[in-house]
Amino acid sequence: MANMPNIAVEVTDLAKSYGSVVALKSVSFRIDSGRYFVLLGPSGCGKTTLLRLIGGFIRPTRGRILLHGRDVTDLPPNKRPTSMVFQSFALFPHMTVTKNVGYGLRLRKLPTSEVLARVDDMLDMVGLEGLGDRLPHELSGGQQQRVQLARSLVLETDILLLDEPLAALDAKLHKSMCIELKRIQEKVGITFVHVTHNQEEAMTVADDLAIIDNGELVETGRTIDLYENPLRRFTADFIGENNIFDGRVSRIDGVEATIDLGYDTVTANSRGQAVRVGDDASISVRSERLQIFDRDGKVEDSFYYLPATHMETVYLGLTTSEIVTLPDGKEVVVRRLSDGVENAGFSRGAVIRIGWRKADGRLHTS
Amino acid sequence: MRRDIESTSPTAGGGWDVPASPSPWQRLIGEDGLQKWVFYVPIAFMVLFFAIPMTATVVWSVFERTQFWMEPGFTFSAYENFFTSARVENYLSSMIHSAWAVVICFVLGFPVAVFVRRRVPRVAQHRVILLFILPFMISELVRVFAMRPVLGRYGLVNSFLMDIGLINEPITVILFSPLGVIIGDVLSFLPFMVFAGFLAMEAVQLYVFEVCDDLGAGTVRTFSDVIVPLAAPGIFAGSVFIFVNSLGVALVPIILGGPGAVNAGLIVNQAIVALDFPLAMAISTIMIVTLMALLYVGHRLFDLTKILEPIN
Amino acid sequence: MRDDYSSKLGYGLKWAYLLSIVGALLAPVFHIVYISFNEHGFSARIYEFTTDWYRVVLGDIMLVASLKWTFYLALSAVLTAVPMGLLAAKLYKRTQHKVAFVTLMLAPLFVPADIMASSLLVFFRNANGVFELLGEALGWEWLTHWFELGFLTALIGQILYTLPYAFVIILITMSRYHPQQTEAARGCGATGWQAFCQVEFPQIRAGVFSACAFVVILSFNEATRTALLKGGFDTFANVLVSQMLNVGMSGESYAMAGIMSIVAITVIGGFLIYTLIQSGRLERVARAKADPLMSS
Repeated sequence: MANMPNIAVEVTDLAKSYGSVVALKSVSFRIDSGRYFVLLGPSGCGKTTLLRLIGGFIRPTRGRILLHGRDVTDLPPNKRPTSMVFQSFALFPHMTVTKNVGYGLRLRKLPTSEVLARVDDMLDMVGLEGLGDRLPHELSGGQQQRVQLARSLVLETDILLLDEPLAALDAKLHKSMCIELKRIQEKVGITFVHVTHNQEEAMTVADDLAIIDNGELVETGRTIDLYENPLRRFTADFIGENNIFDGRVSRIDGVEATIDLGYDTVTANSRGQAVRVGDDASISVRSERLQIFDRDGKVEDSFYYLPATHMETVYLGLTTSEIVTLPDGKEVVVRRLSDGVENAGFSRGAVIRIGWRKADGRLHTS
Repeated sequence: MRRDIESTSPTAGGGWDVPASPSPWQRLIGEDGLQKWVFYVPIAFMVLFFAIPMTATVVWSVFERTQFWMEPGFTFSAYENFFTSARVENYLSSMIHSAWAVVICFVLGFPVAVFVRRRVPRVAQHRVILLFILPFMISELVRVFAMRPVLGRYGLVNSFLMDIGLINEPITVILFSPLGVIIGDVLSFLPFMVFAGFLAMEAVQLYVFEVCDDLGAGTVRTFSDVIVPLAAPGIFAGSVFIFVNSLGVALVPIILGGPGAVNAGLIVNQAIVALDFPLAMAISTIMIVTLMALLYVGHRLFDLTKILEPIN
Repeated sequence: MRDDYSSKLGYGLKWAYLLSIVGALLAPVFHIVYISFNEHGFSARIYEFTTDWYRVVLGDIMLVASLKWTFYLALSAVLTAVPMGLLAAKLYKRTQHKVAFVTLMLAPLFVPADIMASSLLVFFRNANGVFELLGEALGWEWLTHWFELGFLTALIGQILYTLPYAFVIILITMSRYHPQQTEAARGCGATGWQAFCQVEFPQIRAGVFSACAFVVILSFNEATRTALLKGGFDTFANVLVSQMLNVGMSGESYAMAGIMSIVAITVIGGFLIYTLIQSGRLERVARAKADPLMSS
């Protein structure tokens, strides 16, 4: 029998309100240990509140937090097995890099020689060797974030929390820092919990994702599962470029549910969701799974087709998007890898069909 | 390199100890111990030694006067005493003097604040304003006392004017007179107007000036239509401060006012010396009510909470 | 000069106006100091420099004793008002009732000294009466003298006077502090107290020391509240007031006023010069801190 992975973080019915303002409604989930876990959601959705609750910087209004099986809900940050990397301005400006990184170790009253040794090792690991005597304001933004990382990692806590660590860095730096974070996490092996609103960042680093919206946990799972097979409509809308068709359930055939879109009907697997005739439901299809066909081309059984009018071609370098409108005015995006040609020969207003493999449509009841 | 994780709080070696679950007492006072309650000491102090005495003042003003102290009771005799005596005229005329002091302070001091905000580079602004802290830091006692040898018959002003031949006789109206009191008030409180104006001008961003120039508004119109409305909350607070303090500081009329010159503060002082405590409390109540009325009116007109924004 | 098109003459005139205001405010004080060194006092035509008046003043035992009380009071005021200002500033940052809090903390600024002191006087006498009754009823002797007029009551008056200033100064300094640093320190294992001492305080130190200087000077110069609320002692400022009112403008009065001014000018002037020197250096550091390069 395979070993059950340790659970690093378990959150049960966690909620936080400030007076009448509800920042987090009831949230429950688990984070497996050793994974890179990302909390992803739009601004103001409560993901940072959630992270800070885990870190102990805020007290919950309701609920429990268990870290590696121990109830830490009433413990302050300095007593929890977590350390945190902040967005900016969290380095101690009156201390050098070495002193910053060694701060936690000095608090534990370790001998100076050992502190210095550990600090030096950690500075090497994050790529800051030789910069120990600099002051924070003498470093670039990326270097400052590495110092924070070093300061947290040197404490050898079980869980590292990151609060939008890359938000203050410019775009070019984002990508390389993401990959470095991933590399460091794999090397050190502890659990990382990373908060961001940036989808691409999340997809680059995350093993597991939790989507948060409006104080609620929308969906959680492995990154690849959330991208290929999102269960909730919000997830489909938030991750990847998906086209969502809204309609009503008109028929149920075992696990297959048929949705009436108004101008057509489409069937998809209910994937374990509870469905009743008459419920609101949607079908989502990834834009790269859609194709454009001639109006009068052949019809394959395994495909669904919808009539559409071509509006615009957008060349984005790697990909090219075709924007088309359905008869009821809804815009649909069809995406493909660019083939070096700026215009695939469609003229504005041309009447065409869009189509997708039936298996690629995913049903969402919420 | 995967690590096996087993424990949960820090030890010297880098592992973590198991914390005990918190007792009910710990949960009440918070993990940081009693520290939490110490933060309420200042506000408790204020309530105990400011809020309570101030409200009690109103209560005491209706007590009955005894020879050396007062007795709990309910009578308006102190107020009657005040309103039927010459004191009420003195109070009103001192209010007019204070109002004049405020206006003069504004006219002289506010342009300085605007100038510093607008024309001095941001980083140097605080240094320039510090220049105005210097007079403020010298005891008001001394500053007011210092006006005598300046405004007196043989003082600086008169000697200077006579030396250059502008006048033949010393001007006596500037000391031991209402004018002397006003001059004393202005010189005492002018730094406050500069500070208040400086803080108030924080609300007027630089680009506003550029926009006004761009639109061709003259200096006067820029001032009256744009600057004053934006800076109004701060100016109003500063003005109330000066008004109330010049009404209340007994020192100025004592030293610079003529015989019989009084302001509210001095009347209160005299009442205490005469051991008529209900009367002192009554006048204090009237002053407090005046102050609260002014602040309320100002808040309705200008929303004084805007002053807090730079602090947040 | 902010822009290239405004007139240099206008700029110069406005600076001249500013400086003349400062001058007009300070000149009377310098005049007093000037007179205090004159052998013949005020209104004499001849000027002969002498420190005699100062010697008389400092040789007067009572006056020196009053200086001692002034010192005690100022020291006690700093040791109470500044930490209280710090605590109040921290609570302000955390509380959700910010407006009410600030109103209560700053209200004493709007109540003139004489009014506040009179009310407190009555309050203390009443409280004293109550405590005396309580103490006798319970047989607790130590309870009966709490609110007798004395050092403690004078101190309370001074704290009410200086606390709003300390509060505002510290609050303004703290507004530039980033609270994530305290959180980061807590995350590294520091207790609340450790985080404050090792991370926050070094950064707000300047503000706290300014508050200290402010409180010292305010206390030193204060006479009204102390006059009403003290018992059995006099501070230097009290003596000066009674001198001024009773004796008028004597040589000793000038010397006393001179002492008060010189102390204030040295302390604050010295502080100002120190900050001016510091701020040049801090400017450069602050600019670097605010804008680190974001792309490497």
